[in-house]
Amino acid sequence: MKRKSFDPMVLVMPAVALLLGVVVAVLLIAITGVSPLRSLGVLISGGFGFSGKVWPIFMTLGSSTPLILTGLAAMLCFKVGVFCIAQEGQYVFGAIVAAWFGASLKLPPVIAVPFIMLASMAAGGLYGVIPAVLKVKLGVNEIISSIMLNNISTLVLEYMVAFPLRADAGQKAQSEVISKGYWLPQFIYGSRWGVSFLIAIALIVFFYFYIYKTRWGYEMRMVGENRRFADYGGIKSGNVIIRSLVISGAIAGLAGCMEVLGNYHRIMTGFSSGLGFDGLSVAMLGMSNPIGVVIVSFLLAGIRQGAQLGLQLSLQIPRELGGVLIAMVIFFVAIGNVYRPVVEKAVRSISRGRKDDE
Amino acid sequence: MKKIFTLLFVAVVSISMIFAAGANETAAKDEKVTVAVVIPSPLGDRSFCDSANEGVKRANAELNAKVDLIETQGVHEHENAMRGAINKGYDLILGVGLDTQMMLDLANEYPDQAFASPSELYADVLPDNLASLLINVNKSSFLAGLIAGYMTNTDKVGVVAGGDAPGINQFVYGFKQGVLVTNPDCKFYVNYLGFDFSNPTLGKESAIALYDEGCDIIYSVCGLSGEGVLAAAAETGNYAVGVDTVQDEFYPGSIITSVIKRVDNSTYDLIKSYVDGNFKGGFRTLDIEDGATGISWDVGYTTFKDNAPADMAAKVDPAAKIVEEYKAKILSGEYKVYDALTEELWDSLK
Repeated sequence: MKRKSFDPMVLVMPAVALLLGVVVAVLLIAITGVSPLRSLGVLISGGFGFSGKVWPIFMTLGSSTPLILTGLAAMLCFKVGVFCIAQEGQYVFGAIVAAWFGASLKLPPVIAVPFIMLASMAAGGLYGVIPAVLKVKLGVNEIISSIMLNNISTLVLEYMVAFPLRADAGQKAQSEVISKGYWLPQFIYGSRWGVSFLIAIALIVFFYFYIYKTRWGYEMRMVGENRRFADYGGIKSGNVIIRSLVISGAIAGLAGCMEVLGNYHRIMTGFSSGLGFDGLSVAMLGMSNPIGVVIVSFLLAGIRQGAQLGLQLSLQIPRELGGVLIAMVIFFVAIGNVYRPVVEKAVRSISRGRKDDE
Repeated sequence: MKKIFTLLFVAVVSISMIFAAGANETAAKDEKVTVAVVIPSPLGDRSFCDSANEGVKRANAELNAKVDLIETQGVHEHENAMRGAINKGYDLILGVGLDTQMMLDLANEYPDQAFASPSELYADVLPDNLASLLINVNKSSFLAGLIAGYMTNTDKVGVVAGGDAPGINQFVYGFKQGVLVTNPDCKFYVNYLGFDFSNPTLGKESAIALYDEGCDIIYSVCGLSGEGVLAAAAETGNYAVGVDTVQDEFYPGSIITSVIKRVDNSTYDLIKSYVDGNFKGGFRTLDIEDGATGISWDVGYTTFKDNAPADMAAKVDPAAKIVEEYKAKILSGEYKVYDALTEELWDSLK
C-alpha cells in the first residue's frame, strides 16, 4: 500500500475551525459595542504579538508546551482507538512525583533532573496501566475508568499538598519550592518558554517516526483502524493497546514533571486546572497527527492568552466572552464533518490550480 | 496561482495587524495613573472578588486613575495575568489574594514596577516595591462566634472553610474561640473544601453534611462556594453566618450576621496612596478599629432580627450585648483573640 506523502487537510481543517470560531465570537463581542477589527487585532497581538517586556508570542510558546505533550498523549490513545481521558490524572501524578523528588533529592542536577523525569514518566505510565488493563482484560469502558482515575488523582494531589508535602507558610496549601539547580532554564525569563519546549518538540518528531515508520506504529494504527482485523492479521491487539496507553501515560506524566521543573517549581491545589482535558481537544483538533498537535497547541495557547487576557487588558471585555471565543473554536471543530466537504473541495481545487501552474 | 496570492495577501494583512495593534496600545496612554487589579476568580461571588471590584469602581469614580479589573480562574492563569499586566505597563498592579511566592518573585524580577496586595501576603519582609494591606479578621470572626455559640439550639456549630491555610484559619479559629466563650460545651465541626472557592455545589453538599450532623449554625468562609452554604441554611431551615460582604439579605432570616472584610476599602486605599504619591512597600495591618472588618450588626443591618422566627429573633439583643462587652475588652487589650497568621494553635482551641 502506498501512503500519501502528506494530507493538507490536517492543516486546513483546524485552521478553518479556528477561523470560523474566531469570526463568530468576534461578531458576538461586537454586540457589546467593541469594533470587531479592534478586538481581532487585540486578540492577535495579545496572543502572538511582538511587543512589551516579554513578548506575548513567547508566553504563548511557553504555555503551549504542556498542551503539546498532553495532546500527544491523548493522540496516542486515539491512534489505537481507545478514548482514554486519564491524561489529567497522569499529568497530576507526574507533577506530584517531580515536586516530591525535586524538593527532597540531594543529587547533582545532571543526575537528578533525568532521574526526576524518568520517575514522573514511570508514575504517569503506571497510571496508564490501570485503564489499559481494565479495558483489555475485563472490557471495562476506558472513558468511565479514566474519568474516575482523574478524580482520584486530584484528591491525592489535595492530600499531598495539604499534608505530606506541605511547606509551612503560605495561604495556599503548596509543596516546598524545588532546589534551584533542578529548575529547567527558560529562554526568555518570565515567558515559561524554555528547554521543556525543545523536549516536547523532540518527542513529537520521535513519535511521528514511531507511528508512521516503525512496526510498532503500524501495529498501533492497525489496531486503531480495526481491532478485529488486526487480531486476524496476527497482531496481539491487547498488548498493543496496553503499550500505547502506558507510553501515553508516561508522556502526560512528563508534561506534569516539566511544568513543575520549568515553571511552577512546586505544586499546589488547583495546579491541575484541566490541562489534561485540553490535551483531548488538542488531539481532536489536530486530527490525531503529531504535527497537527503542535500547530493546534500553539494556536490554542495563543487564543487563550489573547482572548482571556488580551481582550480584558486592552478592551475591558469580560473574561467570559474570551471563554466564549474558545468554546466557539472547539464547537466548530466538533461539527467539522458538517462543513468538511466544502473545505475539501476548496483545498482540492487549490492544489489542482497549483499543479496547473506548474 | 491567483489563489496563492490571495492567501499571501491575507497573511500579510494579519501580520501587519499584529504590529499595528501593538503600536496603538502604547499610543493610547494618557495622563491618568493606570492601575490593574488582578482578582483570583471571576466576578459574581457576592463575596471577596465582588468586594474588590467595589473598591475598583470607587477608585475609578473618585481618583485620578484608570483602574482595570482582570478576572482569572485557577492558579495557572494568575501568573499569566500578572505578567500580561506588567507587559502592558501599568503604573501599579494589585494582586488580590494571589500566591505570596509569585508576588515576591515578580516584585524582585521587576524592581521598578509597583505591586500591591489588598489582602494578606505571608512573608517576613517585603521588597520596597510591594505593599501589602493585611485585614485581621480573627477578632470580627470571634464576635460572630460569640453570637453563634449563644444562639445555637443544638450545641453544635460548624464552619465550611475554603482550605486549611493560615489566612482561612484566622476566620475559623477566631470563630471557634468565640463559640467556646459563650458555649463551652458546644461541639465544633470544620469542613475544608480543598481550596475550591468557586464551587457552590460543593459548598452546599458540605453544609448539608454538617446540618445532618446536627449543627444548626454554619459559618461560611469560602468565597463563591459559600453561596451554597447559605442556600443550604435556608433550605434546611437552619442558620448561617456570611462572610466578606454583607450577605444577610441573601436569605433574610436564615443568615444571622456577616463577618465583613472590607477588601473594597483596602483596594481603594492602596490605589489612593499610589495616586497621592504616598506608596510605600511593606506591611500595613487593618483591624476592627480601622473599620476594615466587623460584623454586619455594627453597620446597622437588622435583616435577621426582622425576619427570623420569634425565638431566634429574641436572642439577637442579648447576643449583641455580649458582642459589645467583648468588643470593648478586645479594643482595650484586656481580652486576646487567637491569630492564626502569627501564632501556633492554642491548646484550648485544638
